[in-house]
Amino acid sequence: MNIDKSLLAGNTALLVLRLLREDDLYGYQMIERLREKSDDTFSLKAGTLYPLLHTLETQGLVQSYEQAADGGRIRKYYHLTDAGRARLAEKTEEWRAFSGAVDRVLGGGESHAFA
Amino acid sequence: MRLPDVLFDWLHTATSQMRWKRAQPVAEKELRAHIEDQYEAFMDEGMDQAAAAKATAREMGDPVETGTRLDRVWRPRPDWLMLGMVLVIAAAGLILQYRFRWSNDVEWYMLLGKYVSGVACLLIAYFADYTLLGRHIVPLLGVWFAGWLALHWPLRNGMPNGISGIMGWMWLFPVVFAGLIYRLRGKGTEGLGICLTAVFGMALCGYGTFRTGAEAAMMAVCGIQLVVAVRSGLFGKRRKWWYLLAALPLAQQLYFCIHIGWFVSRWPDDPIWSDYTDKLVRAALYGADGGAFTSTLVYDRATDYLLVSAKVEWGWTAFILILGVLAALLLRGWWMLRSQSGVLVRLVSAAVLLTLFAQMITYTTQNLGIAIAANHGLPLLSYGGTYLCQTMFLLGVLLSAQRTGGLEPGTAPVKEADINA
Repeated sequence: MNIDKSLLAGNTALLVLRLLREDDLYGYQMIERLREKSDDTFSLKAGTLYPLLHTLETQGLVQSYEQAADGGRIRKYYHLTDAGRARLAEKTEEWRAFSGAVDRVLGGGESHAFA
Repeated sequence: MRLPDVLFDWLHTATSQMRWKRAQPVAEKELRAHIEDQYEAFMDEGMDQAAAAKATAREMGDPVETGTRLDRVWRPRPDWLMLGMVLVIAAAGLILQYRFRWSNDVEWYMLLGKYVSGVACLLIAYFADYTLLGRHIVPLLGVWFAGWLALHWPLRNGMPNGISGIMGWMWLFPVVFAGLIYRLRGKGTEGLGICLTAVFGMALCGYGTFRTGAEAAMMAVCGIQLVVAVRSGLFGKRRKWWYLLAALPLAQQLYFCIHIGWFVSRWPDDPIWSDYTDKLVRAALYGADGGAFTSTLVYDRATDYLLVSAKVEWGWTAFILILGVLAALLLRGWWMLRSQSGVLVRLVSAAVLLTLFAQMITYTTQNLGIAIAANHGLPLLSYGGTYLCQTMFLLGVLLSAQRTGGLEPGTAPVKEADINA
């Protein structure tokens, strides 16, 4: 199913922070893991991801470092900071409130819409 | 890995959209790594090189759009507040010096000229590349030593401004030392030993030049830098006895304080000895009589004893306010340091802040009548000319590091257990 990109746009940061909560990752790994966890629903482009990562880093939510990956190549990993964890918790709560409200409207909407 | 032309072109198109040239290689390195991983993944799926290259370019998205987005986020980050504080405090310092000047021959335009020179030094450091300290530390150490030799000669031959010139140069050592620590990171005991040799070499230069507390204060700064470097695991998995080695410069500073305290307490009450000056200072601060201080130390009121002059003129509030302003500047610098993650930027920023803090402490103790000679000014406030240029240069280095420190990769987060041997 094709998802409207605008639905993803406002929540990409939330998804990236959530991925990093589990493990430090580099950019390619994040895109692959997001695709895998979303059953190919979310296919993030590098042109979206890397500017976002740099923005998150300037905000102090993630921290980058270089390290050898599998195969010995140097990759730039990203690590979730304490501030990032706090922001993730806040945004997760916000998403749950938002999505719960949307579900309630969609779930109870048809029987009342033409009353 | 050599990239196919279509991918090389993609990379070049993307990064050429970025206006900040220094950020281009940083972004290119990361994008290239991504392209290589994606390209290899397609090849592993069975595609040939041409098909894999096209698929990779498609997967990466539009290069112009990517580069435009990168251009929006990769920008230098000047700290305008800190820059403003530096300029305002330096201007206030020159006003104070004019107020307490010892002669009406010291005209306002002479002080303005010194301010302009200081700002020029700040701007030179601000737009310079602080990473030179990490990449070219050996020649920079050579330049520092050559500078000391060149300035040592006028001092020994009694030329004017000999002491202030060499003092200003000596106080650049902690920043250069930060580059040396960075270069020797991961080198274990050997690295620590070379750093200690450099510190004691600097102390010999200072001791052979003017024999004051200044080189001891510098050693304390370098000692703190070394202890923190050991603590952070910069030299490798830390060993407990490394702390003892790293603390040797601090021990020298402690010895110096005890030695001076014992020695000076036995000086006679004679105008020739500096203890007499300290007695005048204490009388001005804690007694009712500031007149003897004002009439005797007429040449030093605006330079070596600015705080005492302010107290005599306006009371303790002025004394504390002046120090409070400097403390606010250092706190802002500390906040800037904490926001950085790169190793070199943190080392360099810490070196600048420690240098200014040490100068502030030794100057204050001199102005409280405690017998430790400072032979330097209160940062930004009490001296014009060479000393102001040195201080502004250091602050320019700090601001430069803050502005471009985001280009430097950080260090992997470490657990205590990982860096204990």
